[in-house]
Amino acid sequence: MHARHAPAFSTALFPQLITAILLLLVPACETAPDSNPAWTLDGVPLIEAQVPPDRWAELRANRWSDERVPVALYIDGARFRGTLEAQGAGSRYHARWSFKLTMDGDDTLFGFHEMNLSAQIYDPSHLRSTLATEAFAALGFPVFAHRHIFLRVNGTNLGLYLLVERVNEAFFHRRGLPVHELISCGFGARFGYGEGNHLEKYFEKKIPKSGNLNSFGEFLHALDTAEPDRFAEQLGTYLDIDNYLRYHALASILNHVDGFANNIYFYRPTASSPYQIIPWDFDKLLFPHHDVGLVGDNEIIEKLLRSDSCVAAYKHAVRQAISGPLDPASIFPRLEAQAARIADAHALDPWLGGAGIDLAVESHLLQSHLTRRLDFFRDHIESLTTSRP
Amino acid sequence: MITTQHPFLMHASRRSILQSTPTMAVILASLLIVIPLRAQDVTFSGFGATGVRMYDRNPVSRYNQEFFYEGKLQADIALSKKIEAQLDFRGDSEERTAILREVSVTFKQLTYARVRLGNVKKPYSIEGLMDRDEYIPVFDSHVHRRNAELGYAGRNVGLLVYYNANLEKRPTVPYSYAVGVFKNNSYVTTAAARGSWHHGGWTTSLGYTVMARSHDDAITTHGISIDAGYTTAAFEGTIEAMLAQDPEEGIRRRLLGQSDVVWSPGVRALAAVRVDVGGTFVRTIEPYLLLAWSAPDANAARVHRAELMAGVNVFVDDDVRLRMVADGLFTRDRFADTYSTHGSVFSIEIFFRF
Repeated sequence: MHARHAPAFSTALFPQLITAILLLLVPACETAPDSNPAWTLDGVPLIEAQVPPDRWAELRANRWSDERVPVALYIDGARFRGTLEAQGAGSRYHARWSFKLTMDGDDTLFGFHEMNLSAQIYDPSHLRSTLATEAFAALGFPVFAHRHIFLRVNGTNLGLYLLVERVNEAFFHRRGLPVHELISCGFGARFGYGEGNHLEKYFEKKIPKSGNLNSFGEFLHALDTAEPDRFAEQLGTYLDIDNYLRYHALASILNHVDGFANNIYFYRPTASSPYQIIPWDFDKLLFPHHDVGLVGDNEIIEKLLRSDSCVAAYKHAVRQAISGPLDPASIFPRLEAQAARIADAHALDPWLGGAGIDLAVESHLLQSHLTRRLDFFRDHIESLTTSRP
Repeated sequence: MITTQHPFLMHASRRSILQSTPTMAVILASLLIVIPLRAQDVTFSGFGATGVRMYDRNPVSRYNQEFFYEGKLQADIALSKKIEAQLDFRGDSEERTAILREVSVTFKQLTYARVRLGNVKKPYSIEGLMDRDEYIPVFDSHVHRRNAELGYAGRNVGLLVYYNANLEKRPTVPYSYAVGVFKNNSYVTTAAARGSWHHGGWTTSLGYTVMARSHDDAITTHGISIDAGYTTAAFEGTIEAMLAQDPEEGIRRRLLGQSDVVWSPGVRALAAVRVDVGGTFVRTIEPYLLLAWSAPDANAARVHRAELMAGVNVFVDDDVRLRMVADGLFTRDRFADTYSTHGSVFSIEIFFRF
């Protein structure tokens, strides 16, 4: 805005004019409180996030391009800084989506430097991760830590999110676990070379970060070629078979439809260790629209169940899970306690309570579904027999 | 080869730019190759600002002040007589890194149908098209921020065909228009059209935008805007009204079994006068007042936000000014009948452009 042609004006009035303008501005400094109930939520901490408005608009327009924006976080009167970006796979298609939050410098939030704020779009109860992490942990699997938070961005209630620990170097360090290699699986991952396979398309080496998938390729080759009578010798070097069968049994009972191709991490503690499993992402657990039956489908279990000893071990793992961590007498009270903690935040969430989803109903549906799965496995698991190609 | 002697890098942090995305590095490298060869064809412009902002934030009052700085560096590159390109970098104390905001190439072969390709502004509303350094207030109105959040305003990669009226050169064609199609990385395709008529100091405009979101939660939404403005050397006044569908709220209503058509109205008015004080230090002062109002849902306008932005620009030079503004936001949400001032801000900054 140029002012070369403005009319003349007496300079004597300048100080008075400035004073008057400043006085005009003073009333705007009076503040009135924000009545949003998010500020007084019990049970779930509130994260108030401030993202520069133009950058927030850009992030919303770039969910699939890893746009990263600065964020100031206010929690219980403390301020942190970090960056926010879209996170997830299928959830990015939805109106509600998830974020990756990275703290600046060496800062941590709830103990983590990097974390996901997961929208849990397939879990209207927000209880599935509690169920699964408790069950998998009880069977000896390292699982991500998590806690619910209520997220506001630029004064808008985004809602109830699950703050999730990411599986990275720090994940192993926090648990005192050695890690030599960590592989993540993508959409449509196939475990074998049967019809051709491009490892780089389906698998990503997270630790150490590299494109070298040779060890994993050797595992898949062994899976393709191992003879059922010699699994321990020919395949056991590459895969901790008992560990995998326990994972697959529990994932099948929980109808973890996303847990047989993607949403699995393979890790090796040392260079000579076989791959073990780290489960991941449970919001599609007990998915009501698809039933995986007694055994979820993938190339690994298909091959393993050609062995009598593996079938026996699978049945044992099922019985162990049913009578142990999935016993309703122990797991249901925990789910109900968690539901009580998140109830107010769930009701306030525009996409949960605000969209007509009742937590009590969803909690009941989840427990009923699990009960039916347990009954089904009790009644039918002994009918599982060794498969022949 | 990158050298710190190059004028481009003298204005931007080499460390932060090089830490940015590979795409940016490629563009920067291209720029550094092209600029020395055609130095006479490149024009640099931009702005810088530094100051303090005091926010009304609840409940962390001890963090309600922020001292900040920000800047923009824009390179306009005349690739030929009829082809121009633009690179626009921004950075601020919040991000502390250079962000490539706009990349575009404009073809001027046709006088009345210039073609621009790149990451460009969608033609929706006055504020949506205004350059930050040409805009009188320090802040965009909350109505514009909301339009950008919904996707109607802001930049996307797309193709824009436009003509801007030049009344001195072509007085018989007092019209401007812009028509474009855009695609973002959230599966949203946008088509937008805007036309303006200029008469004396008056300008009136009408705009229409349609956005189609595909994949899960697919929805198609519409937005219209109408505005009028009057500009002289000593006065500028604009008023605009917008009515846009909220796609996300529409999807949420759909989950409730309700209609997914949720119209969100907004109005905004700005008046500014420029007073030449003729001082040795202060040349001109420019007090202004911006009023705005919006409601997330036209059928539930009890929930709304009003904005009173009062400020003054004190020019010590045409391109250097002290800017003071109080941006009062008054929000009534569905949880209370009273108004909250949460989000209001008072700002003082020194601003220059080049």
